[in-house]
Amino acid sequence: MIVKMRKVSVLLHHKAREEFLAGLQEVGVVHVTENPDKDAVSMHKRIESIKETEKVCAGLKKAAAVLEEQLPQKNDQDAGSVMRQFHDRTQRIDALDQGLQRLQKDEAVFEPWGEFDPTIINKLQETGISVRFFQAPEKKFNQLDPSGFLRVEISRVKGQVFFVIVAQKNENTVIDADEIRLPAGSLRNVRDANIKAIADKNTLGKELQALSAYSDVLRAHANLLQDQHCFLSAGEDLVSEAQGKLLMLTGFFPAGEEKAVKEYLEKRPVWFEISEPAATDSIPVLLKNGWFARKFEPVLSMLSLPSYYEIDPVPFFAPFLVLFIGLCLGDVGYGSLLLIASIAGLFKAPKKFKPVFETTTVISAVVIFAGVLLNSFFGLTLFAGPGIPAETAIFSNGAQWFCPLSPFASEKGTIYPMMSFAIVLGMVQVFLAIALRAVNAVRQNTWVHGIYPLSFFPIFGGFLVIGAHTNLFGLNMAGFAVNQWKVGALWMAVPATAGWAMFFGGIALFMLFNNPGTKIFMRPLRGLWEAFNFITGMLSSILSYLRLFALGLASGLLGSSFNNMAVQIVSSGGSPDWTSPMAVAAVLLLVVGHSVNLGLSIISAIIHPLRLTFVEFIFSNLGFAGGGKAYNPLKKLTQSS
Amino acid sequence: MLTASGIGLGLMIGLSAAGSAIGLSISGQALMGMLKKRPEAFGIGLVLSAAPSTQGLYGFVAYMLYKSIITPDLTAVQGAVVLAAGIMVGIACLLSAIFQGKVCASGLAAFSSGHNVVAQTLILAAFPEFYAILSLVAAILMKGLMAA
Repeated sequence: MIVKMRKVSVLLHHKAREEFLAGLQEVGVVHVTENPDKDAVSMHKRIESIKETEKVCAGLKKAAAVLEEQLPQKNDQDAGSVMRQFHDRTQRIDALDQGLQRLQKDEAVFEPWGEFDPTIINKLQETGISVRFFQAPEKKFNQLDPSGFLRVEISRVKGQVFFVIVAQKNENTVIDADEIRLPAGSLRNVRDANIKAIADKNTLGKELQALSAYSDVLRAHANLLQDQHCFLSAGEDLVSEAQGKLLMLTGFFPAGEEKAVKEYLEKRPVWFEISEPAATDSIPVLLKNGWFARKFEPVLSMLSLPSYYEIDPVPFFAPFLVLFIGLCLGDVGYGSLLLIASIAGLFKAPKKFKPVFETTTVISAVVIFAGVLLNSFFGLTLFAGPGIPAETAIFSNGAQWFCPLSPFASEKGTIYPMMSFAIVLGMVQVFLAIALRAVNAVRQNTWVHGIYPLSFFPIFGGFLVIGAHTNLFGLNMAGFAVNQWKVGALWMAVPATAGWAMFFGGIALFMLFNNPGTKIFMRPLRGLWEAFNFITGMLSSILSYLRLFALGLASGLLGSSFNNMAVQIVSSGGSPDWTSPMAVAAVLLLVVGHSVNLGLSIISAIIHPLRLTFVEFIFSNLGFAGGGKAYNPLKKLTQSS
Repeated sequence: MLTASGIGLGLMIGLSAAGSAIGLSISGQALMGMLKKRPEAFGIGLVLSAAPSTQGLYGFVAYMLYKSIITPDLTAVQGAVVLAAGIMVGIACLLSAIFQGKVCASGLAAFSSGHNVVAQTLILAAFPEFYAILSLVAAILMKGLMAA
């Protein structure tokens, strides 16, 4: 639900600005309308400053994560000093990291040559003897002609020979091998420097951890900056009138807060007016939903907030989303595992994650419920029943009562009621979206605008009735059923004449009331294009829900395959022997196989229901406009002193 | 005829699954590029990049519809219909998924550059998918006519 807003317009003297805004910030409910001409540079600077403080907070939190216990908080330093120290330490750590990378490379170069004193090489150079370092593959090394110089092998590593050539300095000795330029120093120098750099890095890391004792100081500073930013932004949002002597503030607040706003404004030397927002106003949007739907508001925020005059679609798609996830996973075993993990999370996880685990608990329960409907327990058949042999099931009877969506054998082959059910679900959600579209059209325009989307109902209903009566395209729509629920019989119960009347009546409304803003004789022409969109859109929208069937079946078949493989591993002479030593391998296969299947199924079970929600429900049929601006009132995060 | 129908079923699921795999790779690569610039938008990026996974599912649905026809007493007409349906669904889903992947990749690239084109991408990506759906519908109709 979108919270109803009231508009407030305030005219005040420029000298009263600071005091007035400070008081308004204390009230904390008025969203001040942004002034498009305000100074963007100073605003960005303030935002950068807040982001920088938030970044340091996050850095200190990360540094303190390795500590067994959080440090007691201190306040003997200010935020600026803590931030300077943080930047100093992190810059030094970055420099040490770069140095360590270089030292590690140097160590790798020195290692084949072992430990030696580089001054000896320099002394030899001074006496006219050159010592050069080379590397060559073993084969090439063995083919070198050693006459004319002294060749000394130092080491062999992975087929490479490392050797030095000792010769007179003025001799121009050409060696067919790669000459190595050693870095300054020696292996010991490099290793010592490496150890020192690591120790320095650890020391700096500990200093960063110690700085985490000032996390509360920094948090308070970030909140203060945020408050200052809100305050200054609100000041910049005021529009100057009467050569700057007067300032005009326009804002919005939830209708339920009117008393508090009015009380504050009446105490101030200002002129104000509280009114209903106009359709042309940029009204901020605040969603307010119940316990269940509120958990799915972030799903909509992945796209956009609805505009103020639209219906909030969250309470309408949330139950479907959960049901779709349940049907995609659809297994009692998997649902139970998820439920155990979710309940454990509810009791053990930090408080901020509780809403997530509450949601997963609900979803897990629906997965179990869908698993019963689909008759699946870790890929095994749960209940036997008509068309489901008892030897393949855990319980010898009950499918006919508990599992209406379970596949079963018939004389026509295997029947999958979930396939028809997915189509029915698609019809229900698509037409719910169309009904909401009609309500949106009426709310935003006039009742005439609602007729066009409502005309989809008789057209589609009439099509189903006519299709059932005439056996359209040989589809046997009259026989359309979800297990024992004869959906096609409902369509057959409506006389064909009524079906034709609904169909053509709907077409007439469709052709006459599309684009109500245009002239009536133009509408049938534009209606032809709309008809093309309607037919193609409806077809693709409803059939798209078949993915629910396909995903649930694919997940079940994969789980069943792992079960069959495990049984084959322990089977000897045709019957499984779970006491054989191979049972360990079979159990391992089951654990790994079902874990992989569950992981893959969870990913699909999230993505595809989201796609159905976004594309088929929100965009294609609800006609969601979005673009709402979030309600962000001028308020204080820090306590008043 | 059993061979022809077997080939039909193979093409039905093989080509559509291959199309989804290629399409997902194309959009997945674009998603990786987007994450470098906008890591916070992984959720919506994932939904966009997963769009080409649908065609493989349509191929699977068609396979489930047709597999029950494959029996030893399969007629020549039935075998030909299964082969035709396999070629039709397979090719439509293959190409639809690949090009849908390209549409999604372009959308993700635009999104990573700061253009809020999520809705537009979802709508435009649904266009090539429609023809995969149409092939599935045609396959369902062909099965209905075969029974009649």
